[in-house]
Amino acid sequence: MREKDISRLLTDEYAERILVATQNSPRSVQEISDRYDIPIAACYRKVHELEEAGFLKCADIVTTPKGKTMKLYQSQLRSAVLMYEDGVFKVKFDFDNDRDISGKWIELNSANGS
Amino acid sequence: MNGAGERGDTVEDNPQTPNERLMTPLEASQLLTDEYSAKILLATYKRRISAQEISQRYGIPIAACYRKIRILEEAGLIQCVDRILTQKGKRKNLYTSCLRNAYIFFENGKLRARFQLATGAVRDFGGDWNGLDLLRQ
Repeated sequence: MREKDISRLLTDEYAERILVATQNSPRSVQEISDRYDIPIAACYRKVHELEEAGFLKCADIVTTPKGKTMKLYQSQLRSAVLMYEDGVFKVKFDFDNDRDISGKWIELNSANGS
Repeated sequence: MNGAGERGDTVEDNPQTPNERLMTPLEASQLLTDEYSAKILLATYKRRISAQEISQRYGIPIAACYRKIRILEEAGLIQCVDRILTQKGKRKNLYTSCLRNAYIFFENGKLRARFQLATGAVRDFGGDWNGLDLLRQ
């Protein structure tokens, strides 16, 4: 996933709610869907997108009383900044875990090119 | 996160003309992260350019281009600076960006946005602003 898509993901309404929901404790998709009023299919899709982008991590797998396994997700994103200065878009992400793009400014595109 | 309380705060901090609809931090941020809006902001940066030209140069479908231009114009991020006459005798609006700098912060589960306009005006969305230290790191 490209950085541009990642920064767009951040301002997606559902994605933002999911990141907020999983900020402090691991939660299941079902729980996020119920609590934050996100349709369950959309919730699964966004959780997978966020997981792929590295914003979410499966922190635990639990077994429900009905014997089903359920994944609990936790947000890995500490902070994100999107900046537009002098006709240039830049983003910076800070993650809880070590990642190559963590804490670095990434230029997206500018008025002069691309 | 985009609750009524926050909207109230923003009104007090930032008195705006009544015809301007107040945006939530999420809506404000989306103006920058939306692919077409971002391209239009870049296309109009220190330049006067028509919707037709933006559409062709940046590969934005013309109807979407007009729609996004209107949204950005309503948000005060671009403005129409001239109406010129084309060779075919049609009127053509030229737009230029009013946005100089913009910052979007996502921290502790909260989204905030700040726009700095060419006029020097600053517009904050999502409450208090103390995120500048985040930038300097």
